Amino acid sequence: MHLHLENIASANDPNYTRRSLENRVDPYGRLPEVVRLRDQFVDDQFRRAQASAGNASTRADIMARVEDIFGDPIEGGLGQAIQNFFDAFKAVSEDPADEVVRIEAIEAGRRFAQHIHEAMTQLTQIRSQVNERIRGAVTEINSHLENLRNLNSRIATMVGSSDTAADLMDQRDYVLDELARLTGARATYLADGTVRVMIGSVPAVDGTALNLLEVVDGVNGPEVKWQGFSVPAYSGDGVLTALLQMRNEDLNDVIATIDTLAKDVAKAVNEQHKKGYDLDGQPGGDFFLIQEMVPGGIYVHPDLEPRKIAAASSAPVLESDGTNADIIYQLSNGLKNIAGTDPPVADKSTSPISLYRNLVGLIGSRGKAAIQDNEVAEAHIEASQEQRSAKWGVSIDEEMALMTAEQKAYAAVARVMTVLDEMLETLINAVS
Amino acid sequence: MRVTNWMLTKTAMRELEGLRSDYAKAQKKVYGRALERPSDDPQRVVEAIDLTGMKVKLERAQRAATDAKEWLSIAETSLTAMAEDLQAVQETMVQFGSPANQEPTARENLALQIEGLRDAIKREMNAQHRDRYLFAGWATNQPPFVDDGAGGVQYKGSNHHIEREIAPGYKVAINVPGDKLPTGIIATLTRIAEEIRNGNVSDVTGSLFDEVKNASDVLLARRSEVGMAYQQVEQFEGYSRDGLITVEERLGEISGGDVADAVMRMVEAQQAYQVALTAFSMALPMTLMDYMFR
Repeated sequence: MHLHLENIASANDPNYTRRSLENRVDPYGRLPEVVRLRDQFVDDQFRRAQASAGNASTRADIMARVEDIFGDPIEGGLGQAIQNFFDAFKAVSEDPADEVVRIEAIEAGRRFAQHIHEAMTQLTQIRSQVNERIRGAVTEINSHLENLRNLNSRIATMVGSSDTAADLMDQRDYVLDELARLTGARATYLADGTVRVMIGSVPAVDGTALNLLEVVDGVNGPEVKWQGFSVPAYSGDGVLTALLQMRNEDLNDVIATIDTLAKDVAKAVNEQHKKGYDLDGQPGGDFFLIQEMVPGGIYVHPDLEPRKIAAASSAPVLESDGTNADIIYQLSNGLKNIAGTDPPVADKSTSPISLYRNLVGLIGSRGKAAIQDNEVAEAHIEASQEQRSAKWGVSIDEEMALMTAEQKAYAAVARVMTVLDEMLETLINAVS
Repeated sequence: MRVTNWMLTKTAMRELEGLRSDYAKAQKKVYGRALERPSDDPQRVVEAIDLTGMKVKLERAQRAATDAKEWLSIAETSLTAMAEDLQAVQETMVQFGSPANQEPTARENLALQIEGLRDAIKREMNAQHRDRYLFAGWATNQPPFVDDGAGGVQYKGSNHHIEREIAPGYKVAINVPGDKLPTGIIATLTRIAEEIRNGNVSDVTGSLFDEVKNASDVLLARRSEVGMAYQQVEQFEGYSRDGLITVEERLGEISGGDVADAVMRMVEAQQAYQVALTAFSMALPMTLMDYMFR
């Protein structure tokens, strides 16, 4: 009755394992024992799904934040800033004497640089948040591993089977589920009642032996390794691997692509700008100030004034000569020309908008892949959660029915005892 | 398969969440946003970026076409005025050929008429549009034709064409550089006035008349070039307008979608959600206990 009560009370706890009493009447005299109706195969399946889901959901989450940086992918953000910047040069080429269009070109250059800076700032923020999450995940994993070691030692010293042992095993299975999600850890149940947990190729917990992770400084930020030895390096699956992979590959790729885009545009514009002449007949200077060492480090040159935009292609400067500004505008069709073409034909694959669309395409495809992986993993998790619940979840109807049966048995036994009591009483009365 | 209460609750929650998410997606489509993030549909987003690029170029081409038409029509007006003035010069020269106009006073009047027409042509040659000299090549900030001190004019402008990109990659000249005009005509007209005063009928009605006629032909040739350029601009303006409509339609299809279809889908999603809510609210709380302890 007590077990049924406990089962019913925990009906809504997905980590609870349904219990039953075995060896009620054992011909060999063994004591009745509390048995957890757990299935290791289903657990393995669930934990594999946990590892994939942890990995995919982390990737999907980070990619979604990277996508947010670009705002409206079609009409807003960086794409439009690039279009407007080159369009402003077209306007200068058509009316080079008008200072207002020159001011607009400088402003468009500033907006382009500003969009690059904003994207870079946000990407750097995401990277430092990922770094924080890596540290947080390592702390959480270590605390789970220590907890697991303690649970192992307590379970190993438990004599027989009881509610308490079952509770501890439930706790341990929950920790194993969490470790699978965080690291893709695989568990092996040993004969002495303890478990061995492998993360990658390293036994993180083996009975009561324990290996913990630590965070050390690396090229890309904090790296994860096993305490006390450098080889093998940390490898696994789940959340932690996704965090490391996103930071080292995807985020770095996006940062590098934006940096290349910004600097390629700035260099090509500068190179062409210097070939022209400003309104006062002086050779053009740099349009952008480029800081090579800073990711996305481009700024409209602080010395640039509207009159100093080198729109003309020859000196002495004629008022309506906007040829150089037009050549700068043509850079929007390709920053480089196809080799060996005369007259030169722009290589469209090097156009800034092509570079931007490739970037958006890359982020979109990776984001979509992460979302789809996450959906598949979630579906697996749901299927194995159902299997878990089907195997060892509590059905209140079932428990009530069994409890009623127990109640009837109890009543029947009580009735037998009453009959025996009456018989005894009759016998005693007859003898006296 | 055993079915537990937790499974029922969990399934109900998951199904409801799925339906709510479908409803939210359908609702967004109604607001005209089918593509909010690159991952919604990377291929379509990339296509939309290409189309937006094309749209910016076509809009720029349309502005260039408007500007080009303005320049060309002003140039045409000036060239027409010059041609008409030259026509008047020819008529005046013919008048001078008549014996009735050989009197000194009549000759002086005709000479003054020629000088008046010469000055009018000179003014047209230095015509302006929005403070820019029309026939100055790229040197649009200074009068292209200045007196040379000998009754003629000297061209100070450049021989460049101002161009506008009226379709992506296609440029058209919107000005006539001054060196393409019959600049010698001013000196000729000064000489004609002198010869009229001198009573030199044979020169005026002979070689000088031919010079004026030739200059008039050059002007007409320039005017027809400008006219052809205007027609070309109008044609390309039409192309870019059509192109813009096509691009915007496709962009609308990609990023916005069909509103009627979106509304239908939203209503469907809403109904599915309501039906599910009603079904789950009836099915969920029931257990054996509900019947045992009543």
